[in-house]
Amino acid sequence: MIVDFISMLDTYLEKGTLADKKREIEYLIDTSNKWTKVKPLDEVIVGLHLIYISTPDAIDGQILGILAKRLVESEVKVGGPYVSNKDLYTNILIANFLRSIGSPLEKLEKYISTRKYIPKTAVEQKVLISLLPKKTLIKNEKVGKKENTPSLIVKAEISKLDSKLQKIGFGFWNKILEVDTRNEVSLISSYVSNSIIKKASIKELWINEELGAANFCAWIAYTIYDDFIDGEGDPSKLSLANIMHRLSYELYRSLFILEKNIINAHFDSVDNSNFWELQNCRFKIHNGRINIGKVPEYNNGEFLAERAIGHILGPILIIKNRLTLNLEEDNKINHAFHQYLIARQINDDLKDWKDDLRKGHISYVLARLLKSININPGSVKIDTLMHDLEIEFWNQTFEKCINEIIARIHEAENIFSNSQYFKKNNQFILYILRPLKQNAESDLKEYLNSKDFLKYYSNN
Amino acid sequence: MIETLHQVLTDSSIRTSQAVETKLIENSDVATPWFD
Repeated sequence: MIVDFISMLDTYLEKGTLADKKREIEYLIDTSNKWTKVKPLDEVIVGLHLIYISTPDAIDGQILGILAKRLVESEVKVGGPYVSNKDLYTNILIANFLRSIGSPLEKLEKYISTRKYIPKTAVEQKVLISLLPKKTLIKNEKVGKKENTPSLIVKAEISKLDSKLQKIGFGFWNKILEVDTRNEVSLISSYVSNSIIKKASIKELWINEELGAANFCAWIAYTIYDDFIDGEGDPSKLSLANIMHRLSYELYRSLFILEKNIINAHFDSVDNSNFWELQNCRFKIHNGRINIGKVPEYNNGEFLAERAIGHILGPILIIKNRLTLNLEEDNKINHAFHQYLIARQINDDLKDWKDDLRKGHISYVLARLLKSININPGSVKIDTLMHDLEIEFWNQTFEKCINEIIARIHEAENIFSNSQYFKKNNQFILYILRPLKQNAESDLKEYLNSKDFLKYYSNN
Repeated sequence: MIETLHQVLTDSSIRTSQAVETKLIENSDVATPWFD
């Protein structure tokens, strides 16, 4: 394949519309990435940078694997410069590109910053001006915390406490608000309520806000309790946890006076699950070793839903009071909520499994990993086990778990979409289920890209 | 993956396929946690 990068660049710079540019780049990608192996490095970098500007996702594992290999092969020193000590032009291109994709090289940056570059040709000048960093990959961008009515109700309650307790309370209030970027804690009841075809009354709309506050309080309480369950509790926070727990329970009870049994059952489920977890999911840690016992059975993940069931108490109460569901429909909706809770917990477990192993907490993901390697009971050095599990995680479990998350969310979404009682593309689907699925799909893509990176780095 | 690319380019001990795979495995954390 012959690609004239300079004419492509001219098109991009002078007469190219966005559609032209996209077409050319799509052509470039469609005709395989062979050009990245055979073209001179400066042209490859210009091409990649153009692709990145137009279609960042196209800079995938295959391309980066090939690029890594080419850079390593052409390095003058580790970390740059590349090609030759005198080729400032190519090194500026490389530095700009790596900076743009979020991987700047310190030595290369130093190399180019301590030299004065004078373009040798008009084309060089044009290329460099056009490819100066315009877009920088911002990773883990934090969405600013947003106060909403439920969180303000909780804030008002915390303000009534003793001044020292207030300080602790506001610390947790802020923490929940910061991590709850999608308002999943405070607005899940509103989202579900707005998803129901039958319109809510004014009174019911207000109840949604109060239910959000009840969930917010429960999250503060269980955030503190979880530390105690993990043996890391701070007694100075216990009073706040009790107050928040009581407030949460009282809110639910006052809003749904006749639903004592449902409310109690949900609170009981959380406490029973926490107790079961302590009994079955803790292996002793001593001197860098873990004492492997019976790997817990998570009952197809159902335990995960039971432990987190308090999170959907508000939606369950709303549905029960607004709709008259037959048993089959009721079971389906419950099943959909459970799929959501399980998927959500697996997602957290995937992130935490290494920390969990060091603490001896056998989460759902960790239990799957241990079973996958057919672990035998007995004492094992944690570092050795970690190494074995990392390989298993990389080769199989990660992909299986991510696909499980996607499948469970997909099932939940289908149930809500096909229910005669819920709107199509409703708020619960759009604001809660889809983002969770998109997270999982993004993680899966990154994983597959990593696999490609290795393949093309190795086979290049 | 970007992290691994950086490590490959800046550390000469991570150049064999085996070493790169080990790094990828070490770096294979979930990037987008929900929250605990």
